[in-house]
Amino acid sequence: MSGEARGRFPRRVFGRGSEPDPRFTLANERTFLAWIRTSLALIAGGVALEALGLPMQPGLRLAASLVLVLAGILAPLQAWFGWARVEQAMRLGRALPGSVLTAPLAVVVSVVGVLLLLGYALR
Amino acid sequence: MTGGATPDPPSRERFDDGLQVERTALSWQRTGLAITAGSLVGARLLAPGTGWWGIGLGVAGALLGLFVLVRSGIRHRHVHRVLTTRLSTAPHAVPLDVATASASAPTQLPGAVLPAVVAAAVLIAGLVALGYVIAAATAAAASAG
Repeated sequence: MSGEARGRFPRRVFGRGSEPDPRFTLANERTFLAWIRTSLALIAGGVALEALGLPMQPGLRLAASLVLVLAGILAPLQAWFGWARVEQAMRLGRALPGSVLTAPLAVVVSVVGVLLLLGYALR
Repeated sequence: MTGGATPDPPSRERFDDGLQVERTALSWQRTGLAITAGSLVGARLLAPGTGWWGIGLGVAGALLGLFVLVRSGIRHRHVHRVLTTRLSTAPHAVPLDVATASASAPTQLPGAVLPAVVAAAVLIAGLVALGYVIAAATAAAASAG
């Protein structure tokens, strides 16, 4: 495989295996970016809840805010490590791993919805 | 799915760089715009309560977003160049003009430095947001109780 003398970062991913179909590499990169945008939305939601001071029971509003921001902190970890694991699997011809955070995130969003409903009802 | 195995016979068709590559570039643009817009809106929301800190973070975030937009344009050109000058040993692509595949042209897709920087920055933003939420809630509780 021809290429620059310098290895690509990270070596743990690009130093092994062979180059996959570039369309799959690009799709993996888009998935990474989707997780990043998800993280931004979660963080923004959590911050807005507190910053806007919506008329809700304060404890429940804080709980919803914290859950959103914590999810927003985990999402970039899923973005990076998910990207690395999938790229590695593609290069080594292995089965692709699933995203760890997908199902928990769905639960998180539902839980936040319930907290908001309760917080508004009990304001 | 195996990476790159079962190669198609060398095709005379140019690699389909109008779709996947462009979609990826657009995805980067959306991300850069989200970072920029989110930072500016966040600064607008937070400035009343946090003063210069909020404004400073907003400006930093907006600069990061602009940095992402600029770097992603460079990345797009790099990817496009690699995929349209690739030799026929790679699946799906032959060079239109071997003479253009000069020694200085990139032959590999870019690495993951930009993604790593973006992930790290967003992670830090999340931690700062966590601090803000806790501080704001504490202050609100103290003034109300």
